[in-house]
Amino acid sequence: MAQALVFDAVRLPPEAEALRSEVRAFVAETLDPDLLRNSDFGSGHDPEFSRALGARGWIGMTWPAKYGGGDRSFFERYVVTEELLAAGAPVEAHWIADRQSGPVMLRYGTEAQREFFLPRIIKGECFFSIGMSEPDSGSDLASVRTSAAKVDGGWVVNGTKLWTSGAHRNHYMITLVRTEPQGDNRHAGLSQLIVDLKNSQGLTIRPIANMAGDRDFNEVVFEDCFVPDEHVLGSPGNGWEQVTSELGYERSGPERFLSSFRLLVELIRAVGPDPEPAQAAAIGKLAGQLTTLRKISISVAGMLQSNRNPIVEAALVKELGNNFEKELPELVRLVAPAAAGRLFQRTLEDTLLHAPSFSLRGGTREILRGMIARGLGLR
Amino acid sequence: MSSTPSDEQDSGAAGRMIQDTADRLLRDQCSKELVDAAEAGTWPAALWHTLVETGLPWASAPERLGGSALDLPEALGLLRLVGAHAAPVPLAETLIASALLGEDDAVSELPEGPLVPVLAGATDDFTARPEADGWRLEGVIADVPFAPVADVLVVAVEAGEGLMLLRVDPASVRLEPGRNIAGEPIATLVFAGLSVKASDCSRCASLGGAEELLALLALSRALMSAGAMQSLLDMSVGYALDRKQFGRPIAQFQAVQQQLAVLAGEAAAAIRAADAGLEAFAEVFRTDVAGDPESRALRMAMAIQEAGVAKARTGEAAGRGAEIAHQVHGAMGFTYEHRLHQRTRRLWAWRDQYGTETYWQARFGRQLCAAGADALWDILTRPLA
Ligand SMILES: Cc1cc2nc3c(=O)[nH]c(=O)nc-3n(C[C@H](O)[C@H](O)[C@H](O)COP(=O)(O)OP(=O)(O)OC[C@H]3O[C@@H](n4cnc5c(N)ncnc54)[C@H](O)[C@@H]3O)c2cc1C
Repeated sequence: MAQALVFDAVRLPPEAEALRSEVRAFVAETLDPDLLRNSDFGSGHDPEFSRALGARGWIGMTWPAKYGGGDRSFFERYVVTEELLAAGAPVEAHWIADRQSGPVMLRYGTEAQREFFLPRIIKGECFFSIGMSEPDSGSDLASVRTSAAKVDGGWVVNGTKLWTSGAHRNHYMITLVRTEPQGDNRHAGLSQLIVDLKNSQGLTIRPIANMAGDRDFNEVVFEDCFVPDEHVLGSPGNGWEQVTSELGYERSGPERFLSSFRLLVELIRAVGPDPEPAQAAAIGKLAGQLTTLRKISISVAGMLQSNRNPIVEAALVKELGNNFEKELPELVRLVAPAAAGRLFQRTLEDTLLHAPSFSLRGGTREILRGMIARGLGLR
Repeated sequence: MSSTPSDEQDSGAAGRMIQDTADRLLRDQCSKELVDAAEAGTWPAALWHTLVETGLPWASAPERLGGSALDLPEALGLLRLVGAHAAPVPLAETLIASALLGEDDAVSELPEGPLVPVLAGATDDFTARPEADGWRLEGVIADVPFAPVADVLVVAVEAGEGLMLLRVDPASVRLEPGRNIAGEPIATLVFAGLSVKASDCSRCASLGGAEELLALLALSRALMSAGAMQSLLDMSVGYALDRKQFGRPIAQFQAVQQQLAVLAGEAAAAIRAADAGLEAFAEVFRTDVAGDPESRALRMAMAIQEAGVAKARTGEAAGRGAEIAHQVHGAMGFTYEHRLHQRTRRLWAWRDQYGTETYWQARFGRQLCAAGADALWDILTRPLA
């Protein structure tokens, strides 16, 4: 097989397993048991909960201690993330900052940026959004038109970002902008700016309701919005490399196959201890697929731990994982008992209403399959 | 591979050498023609003889029986190669049966020919009763893979707490031979009150019951299927790069790329699931814990669960994978001439042996329902050992 697609057996080390029970105990005493639980990482914004996680050292776990990070392994981070998602914890507020904004800053940011932002992220006090997509730039990210023009001491930004999750609540947005006109190399002349979403002039943030009725993503309009030089992330012109690396962090984690998990839990509750054959088979099928996905994802955590850059492998986890998350409600509804109860019904509806987004956000299924095909040497 | 290096890696070197030898040997010998001939009914005697010379079929039998005393799970890793090369021989059967028989010190020699385990399924009308000097077998066991080419049938029956292995001469049983969709020899066995002497009966030390043997046999099919999936992916990518239409390789068409990406995902999932089943069984066969019954029971429960997941996941991958591989190969892959079908037909055959996807999924599902909704996540994340 193409070397890129080998997933070695990796066992979580004992210190990671030990953390599991700590997280479980914390979740059990912190979460409201009457809450409708959802394992979708984008479904519960709770700054207080994020601060509590920060206080336990569960944000920025793999980052260096000198910024307040935990210097812990990717395996430990893996366990914390999967435990929180499986429990349906409200992780949305800090999720992006922890998963990608912090890591990209660690890798490309200036020392001053790291010293300013990372400790705040780690405490669960500083939340980030992703400013990539635009009205005319979705899958074709390099075509972004939001522009930044050089002025004294900074940059003046004009344009529109779209589908920006959490921009109405978060503090900052790492924004991909064009800092030079597009030439022959469309990947050149792009830069990332750290935009202050709370204190910038010339910035309008409008929530857009999604089909499930949530107000989670936004339109963010820049009209001569000033961003100071010290908020250029990395070096001007290096935006494409940085954004590609950022996307790598986005794709291999358990949030790519656990989004529908709570529905499987509720199905088992509704079915009870003595399932019909078709119910047992559906439950065993989904559970078996889930454990296999989990092993592949842990294998990718092992690659991150060994300082590898598993872009294609991450795409494969997301592609397989999204298919699973989307198939889950389809299978579950066919075997659900007739009187499954309100909690089950609401979880099913909630999952169905969010499922269309699973294979869009973070790169569409078609784009990910294209990346896998490249890994196979087909293109 | 464990994330923390350990001294297990040294003992793995012997295993890797055997893997390399087997890979070379099967690649050289399992030509399209050889597999065709085997499917048409010619026993591949030369291939088996070569395997015998390298000792591979007894890799896990003790040295006194001519084996290399390799841990059974380590030896089962060879089975991926059986799948990858469509080897038409009962290597899985002989590896497993020789390892289990070898646990009985009274067994003093093994035949040169294949050993074939026989395990009655839930729908077989078959009974085994202990009698004064041995066991009495009565009834029918349907569609036993490779029974027609067995030198000795190793009939497994449950006996109180454990499993008895009865060595039966195939000539003493009525065989109704046939072939499965892969052209592999199978037979329905009719036992007309056959008495098996106590001296031909061995208590199986490492497996406590029929379900444990079934899981091990299912794992063998998962591993073979994982190897075949790898081969499907390699063949399909190779063909797509080679075949030109509209003036360019079909690999350049996005529709083809997308399908091959799906195949790669199925192959990756099949391989990871099958290997995970093997890792779980390796915990059962670890010698340092063999003595502790409680710990063994936990390890075995995990091994059966993981083998079942492996069997189900590889079975799912087989269906989807074969479909895509054939679509990408066009009419050429539908010809008898092409070797693609030697893999896809085996995938279809193996997914039906030793429990279909539904069998193992339902078993796992019942277990999860019995444990209850709030135990689900804990069960799914339980580490090995
Ligand atoms: C819930 C949600 C949250 C999001 N949050 C954020 C966020 O916080 N920040 C952010 O920047 N973005 C966010 N996005 C946007 C997301 O990244 C885009 O939706 C995604 O990149 C696809 O872009 P698009 O929606 O414009 O679809 P398009 O790119 O227009 O694609 C439409 C369809 O065409 C297909 N297609 C496009 N190009 C190709 C091609 N070359 N080959 C084959 N098929 C193709 C796509 O696969 C898709 O099926 C979010 C999206 C969702 C649904």
